[in-house]
Amino acid sequence: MMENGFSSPRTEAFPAGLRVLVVDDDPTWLKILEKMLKKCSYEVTTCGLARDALLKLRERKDGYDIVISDVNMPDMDGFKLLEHVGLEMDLPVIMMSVDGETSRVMKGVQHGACDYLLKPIRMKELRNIWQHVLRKRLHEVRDIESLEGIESIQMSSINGSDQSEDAYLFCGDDLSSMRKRKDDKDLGDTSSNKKARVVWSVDLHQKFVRAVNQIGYDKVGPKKILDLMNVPWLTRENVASHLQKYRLYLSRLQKESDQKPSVGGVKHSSDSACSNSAVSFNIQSSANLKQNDVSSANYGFSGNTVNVEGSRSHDRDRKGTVSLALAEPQRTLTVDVPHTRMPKGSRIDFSHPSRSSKLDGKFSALDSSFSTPFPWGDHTAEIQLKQEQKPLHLDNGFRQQPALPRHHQQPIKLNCLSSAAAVSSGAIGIPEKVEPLHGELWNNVKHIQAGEIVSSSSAIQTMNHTTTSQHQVVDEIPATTSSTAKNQCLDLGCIPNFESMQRGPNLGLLPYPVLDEDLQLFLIQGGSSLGLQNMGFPEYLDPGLVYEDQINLFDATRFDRENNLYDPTECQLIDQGLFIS
Amino acid sequence: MAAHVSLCAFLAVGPQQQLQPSLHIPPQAKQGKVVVVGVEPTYLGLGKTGLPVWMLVGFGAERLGADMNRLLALLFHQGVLDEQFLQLQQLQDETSPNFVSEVVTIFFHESEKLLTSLRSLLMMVEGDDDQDHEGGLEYGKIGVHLNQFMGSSSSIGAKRVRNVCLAFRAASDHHNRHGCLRALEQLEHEYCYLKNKLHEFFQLEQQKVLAAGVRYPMNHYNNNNNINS
Repeated sequence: MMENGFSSPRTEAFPAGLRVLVVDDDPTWLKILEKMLKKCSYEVTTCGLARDALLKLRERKDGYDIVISDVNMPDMDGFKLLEHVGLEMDLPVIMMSVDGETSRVMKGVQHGACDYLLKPIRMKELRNIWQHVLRKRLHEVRDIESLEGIESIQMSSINGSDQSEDAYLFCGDDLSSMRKRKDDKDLGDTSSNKKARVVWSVDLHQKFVRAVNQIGYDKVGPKKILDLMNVPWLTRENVASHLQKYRLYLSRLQKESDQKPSVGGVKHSSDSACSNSAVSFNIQSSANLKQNDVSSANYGFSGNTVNVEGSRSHDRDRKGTVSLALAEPQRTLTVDVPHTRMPKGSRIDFSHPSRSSKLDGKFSALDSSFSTPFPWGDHTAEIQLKQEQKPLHLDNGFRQQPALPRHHQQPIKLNCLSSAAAVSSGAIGIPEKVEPLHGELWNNVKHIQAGEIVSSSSAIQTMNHTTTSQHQVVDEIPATTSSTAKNQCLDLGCIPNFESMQRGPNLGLLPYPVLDEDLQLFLIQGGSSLGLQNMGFPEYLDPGLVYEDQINLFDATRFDRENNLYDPTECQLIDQGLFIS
Repeated sequence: MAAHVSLCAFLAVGPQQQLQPSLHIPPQAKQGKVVVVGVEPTYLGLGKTGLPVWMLVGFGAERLGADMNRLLALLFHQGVLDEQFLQLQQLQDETSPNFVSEVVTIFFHESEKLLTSLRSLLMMVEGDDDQDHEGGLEYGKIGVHLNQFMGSSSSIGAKRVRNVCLAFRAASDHHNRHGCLRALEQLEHEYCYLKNKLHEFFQLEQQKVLAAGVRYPMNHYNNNNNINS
């Protein structure tokens, strides 16, 4: 495959010379498609049988760029062929049929088809197929890059929370270098792939999944998996890259189940047809299934898994794995996720919810699990869950939050700040004053379209403004009471939590430690002047801006420095790319 | 003029034959109008092309083209063909000058196989005692064949054939033997009509190619002949 193909000679004339394999049992269509594709300046190979097609594909692993196949083949079901191609060759596959029934189309898409064309096929449809090839390559590039980022974050988070910030900075700074490394890696991979490309057959993948489940998804590592799988010819690198793809896939499932309709629509309208159709199917189903409860979100997720995976055997493995994680009620992994492009929020989210040391354990689970790419909703839900556990003053403040509308993209920040405010005010028992502010903040957030990073930064600023006012209000409260003691109490209560949050699978959230400081300042000072609080916010804001800058370095899809924050547009990759090393 | 005509005939025929100079061409022909001369080809000794003389004069291509278009328009109007056929025509180019006729030939070949299978399957359904049990299998196969038929008929734009297949499939889904038989007959009828019309169309095309090909060498020989005569 021309993974680094943007530099290869063929791509200069791209998409001319695209190597297409056409599979159809109807000789008239074979002839017509061959002619049409030749008119598009593509290189065409035709096949009348699915088995022939597979043979051809296998004998020249990198011999084709895209496969177009009819659904109704005499010797093999077209969907099966689709699966095989995805499994073994990781090529984009386009299905064709006379039958345009939605269920069939959905089945095709679920099996990983990039597109589903209806016969009679028009020239213009064939002219566009190169987009699927290009898109697939781009997604692979992005996935690998993001995965690299995540791995580096993980490594650094293992080293300790103190270095989390460093890790984050490291990742951000090194994005460009990561990209370069990725190119090199691609070159290296391409060359090594040409030597011996591992075919992740269904059996092999099932072994893999079994090993992963055995080890425990959160403790998994390529070496362990390799040992467990006991496949002599498999290398650690093979397993590592396959694990990356597996994580990608799982997180994508997670995200799909968590997608809200509006968000999904916003996001996916800009996506390609292939990912669009697949993801939108899932989003629609998830939207239908989705509730505002954790439990029902869990259902939604499971239901989605079923939808996504259909009849594939290995999917059952995935589903099983997913269900494992979902089974635990405390895990708000599958709570509504508003928007996929707000990883920022998700990071903060990760940091925030852990209000007790108990949550650390859950955190690690969150960390390693394939869920919560953007757990905005998670946050509030988790708070909701945890509140019952923690007899802290904090609960007051937090209880307010679930009442707030949850389908916002930036509840995190608000929650952080508002909960900070709520903390102090909650202790004093004046939640009412804070609530309207909450509402205000929420409204502000509502108006913010968190589709873009820029908007999120503006949201930060907005929040800054609003929260200053909020803090003004709250500030009065400590002033009226002898707050020092309480503040200290809160301080003690809060700060360890923040620290623990920091130590949790904090993936380098920059504003996070700063927020900590703010709150500490805020809490300790108690009835401190507004000025101090205001100072706090600019501090908060700056790292946020920095954060934003670094975010801008990434594509939205590469926010996934945490485990599994993957763009749902890459959902297609899972089906086809998962089984390739 | 006689030399002109004879040279055309000579070129169109291929095998070298002497023409009878006694051929009488109506004056209108000389002026380039399309005139059916009504001369028997054998009288001209043209051999096997069977082309009327006016074709050989170089008017044929346009006339034939007009005929082809008229035929196509009729088929479109009748719903026998749809725009997919036009798409096929657009695919035809210098690298594959007979593309459409080749595709259609493949279609005919496949269709006849399918029709034979369909008929034999239906007969099997008929002949079975335990119709309910066996019929299911046959109807399933009929459905598969019909899907194939629909696919290939959509490839050349055979709209009416495809629609009959749809009706046929509906009948077979309901295990309606009588309906299937009727649909099969209708399918065969539609297919035959389509085949005849397309044969006619390609004949016209062939003739047009020949007629159009006549023009070019004519001038050359004209010059030569003029020298001679």
